Amino acid sequence: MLSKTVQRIIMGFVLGMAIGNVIALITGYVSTGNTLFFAPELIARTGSQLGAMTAQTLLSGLVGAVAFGGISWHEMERPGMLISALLHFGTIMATYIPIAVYLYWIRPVPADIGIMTGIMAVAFFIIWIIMYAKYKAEVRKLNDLLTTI
Amino acid sequence: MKKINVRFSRENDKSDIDVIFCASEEDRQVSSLMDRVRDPLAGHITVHDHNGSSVTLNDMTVISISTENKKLKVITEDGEYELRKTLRDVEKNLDPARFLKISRYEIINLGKVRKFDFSVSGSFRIIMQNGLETWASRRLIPDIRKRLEGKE
Repeated sequence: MLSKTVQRIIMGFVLGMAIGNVIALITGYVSTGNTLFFAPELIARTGSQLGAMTAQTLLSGLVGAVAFGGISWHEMERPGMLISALLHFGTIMATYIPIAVYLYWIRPVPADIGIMTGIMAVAFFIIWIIMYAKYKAEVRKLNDLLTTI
Repeated sequence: MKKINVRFSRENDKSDIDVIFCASEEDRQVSSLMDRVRDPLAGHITVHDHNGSSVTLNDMTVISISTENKKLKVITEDGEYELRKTLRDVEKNLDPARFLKISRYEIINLGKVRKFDFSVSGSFRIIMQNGLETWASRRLIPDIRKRLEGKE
């Protein structure tokens, strides 16, 4: 499982770098109408455009690494699906929120943080419901097969 | 696992006993049954009771085998026994059509399962016929299904 986790972390880091910059570009365009690769405030924070790009790319990669690597929570034998989902959600939010604030993707106010957390929680809940229904149906089939023995 | 039907056909001129297995394919279940007929001692394990005496059991009566304090605990319909082997060694001699290793620490007899359950917390629970409850990874569900369908 360790090697799989490491592979996921690496893949997540690469995807995170790409997706983070694409999202920043889209949200920059939607909010200002201009093509912005990063928030202008980030340039001031990091001292240069290169610094801003580097910070955004690497930190996006980190979020991706945590998100993908966190899939391994669901492969642990003992914790149920709910605990695995909570661990995955918790590690993503603990990484994403501070990074999103640092990169000026969201404001450091309860409303922005609450909305982002709520959106992620709803997404996780929907995925959890789908997976729960799927496993429940599979277990029902197992019980049906038991009656044929 | 496929259902087993046993029939007797009288042939007056027969001096030997012919046992013919009819199935759609010679899968694990069929091979295991053939081994048992060839060797009546196949499908038996020797365990120790709480006095340390050896007891030979038909593995069909075994409900589960699990590791406990560096020994194996064998739970059967009649009681609990000990086995001084590793789980890996025991697994080699058990009927693969019937016994499944559900974790690093436990093997269960699928024929002794009363019910499978998937709880709200998302845990996959196995309830045996004697009331014993155990847990397994969700990833085992497809393997269990194949075993019960006789496809593995």
